[in-house]
Amino acid sequence: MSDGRWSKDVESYVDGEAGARASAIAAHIAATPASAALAREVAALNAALRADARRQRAPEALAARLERVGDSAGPLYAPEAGAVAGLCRPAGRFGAAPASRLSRRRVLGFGAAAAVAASAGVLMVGRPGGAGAQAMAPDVFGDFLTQSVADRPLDYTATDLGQVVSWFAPRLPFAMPALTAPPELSLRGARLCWLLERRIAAFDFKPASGAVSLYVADAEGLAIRDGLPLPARPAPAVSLERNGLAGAFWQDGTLAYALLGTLSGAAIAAIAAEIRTAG
Amino acid sequence: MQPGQRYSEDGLADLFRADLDALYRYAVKLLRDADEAQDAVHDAFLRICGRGGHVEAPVRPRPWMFRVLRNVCIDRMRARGRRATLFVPGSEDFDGVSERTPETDLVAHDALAKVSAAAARLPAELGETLALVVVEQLSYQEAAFVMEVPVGTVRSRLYRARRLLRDCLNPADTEELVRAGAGTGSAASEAE
Repeated sequence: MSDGRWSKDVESYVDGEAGARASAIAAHIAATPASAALAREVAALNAALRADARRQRAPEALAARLERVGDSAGPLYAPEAGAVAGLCRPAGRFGAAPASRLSRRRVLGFGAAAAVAASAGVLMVGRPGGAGAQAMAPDVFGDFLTQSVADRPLDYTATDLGQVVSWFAPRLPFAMPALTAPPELSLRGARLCWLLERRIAAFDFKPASGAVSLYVADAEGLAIRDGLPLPARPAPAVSLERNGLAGAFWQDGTLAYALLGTLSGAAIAAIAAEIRTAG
Repeated sequence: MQPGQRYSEDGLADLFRADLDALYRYAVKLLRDADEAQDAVHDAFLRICGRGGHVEAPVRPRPWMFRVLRNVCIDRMRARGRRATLFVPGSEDFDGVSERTPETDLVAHDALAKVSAAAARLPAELGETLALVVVEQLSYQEAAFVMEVPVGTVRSRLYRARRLLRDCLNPADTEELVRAGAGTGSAASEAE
């Protein structure tokens, strides 16, 4: 076992929190079998804890409750018909999610997105994004913000796209095609994500400023968001912007792509148009 | 955590929903009651997203959302007069707040199950710190912000928590975890 003086350092290193001492700790781990063993144990323990805890998901009823909060046309806690009068709980607690009472803002959001797509001449020929399709945008925006923008550690560091594609090959349930990206984007590495109940590949790039990530997933059952299907190439990508972040979404073959960045929407759309796949 | 970015209510709501599983897990960890955790998450959502118009939030809103949820959970425990397990003096005693049950003992038949059972028995503040840093992957600084403790405390709690967990495992269990990568398919465990 590693001695106490180094144990916290090794743990911090495994957690990606070693900061300026990272290289010194890495050298110590490389030179000290006990610390190397500790690092492996801590990494394995982290993975076990994460796998165990992440089996626990928020109930559908809770998601339905939160959806109802956005309904500005009605009271926040309106009970469904038949609910006990005076029991101020949302109906989602007591049964299936209420039928589609979309918020005014949400309807406007769909309208705006549809207008963007229509003005771009997008032909929506991807899989229908109707009921049952999983909305890709919220999850990838959330992941991008909490991982790439927060500069969390990568799973694999490399600057060559082909090398990263090879790294992904045995780890994904789909064949990752060869990719080419604009030369001004420097690749930093990759992360293997678990989002939308599937394995998703994320490539992290370092533009001149900010962050850009490309997510690649099996497109089966995915939509950009409710009612907004992925446009199939050669149709242009659909652009969305959230809180200063921009995204471009498209489908190529059987794969869904989402390019997210801290750049402008126009810049992200331009980069998305330059990303090519083969094979 | 520096303040200073204005978010639309819808934007924050989307961020909250994107992290709903994590927030719910955290509420369950704190309250140890799945139904009450749902209510707490709902209350936190209202505090964060139900103000109308634009909301001033930190540049990194994720830890802020966890902190709001934590405060909601603490309010709920106080309101119900429940023993505040978050801050029990002397709860460093490993078995002091044991969640051990016959069920957890029965299922502890392999290394992963042992880790799971042991994590459930950790003192509240150690389990909470592990949940934030290891499971939800907040940075030490972000976890310190959420729990309103110094970063050094986060580091110490993690060290103590892991030491307790490792003490529950025999060498064969540890080897199984390392070899199998805990069966997670996580990139970290599969890295070359």
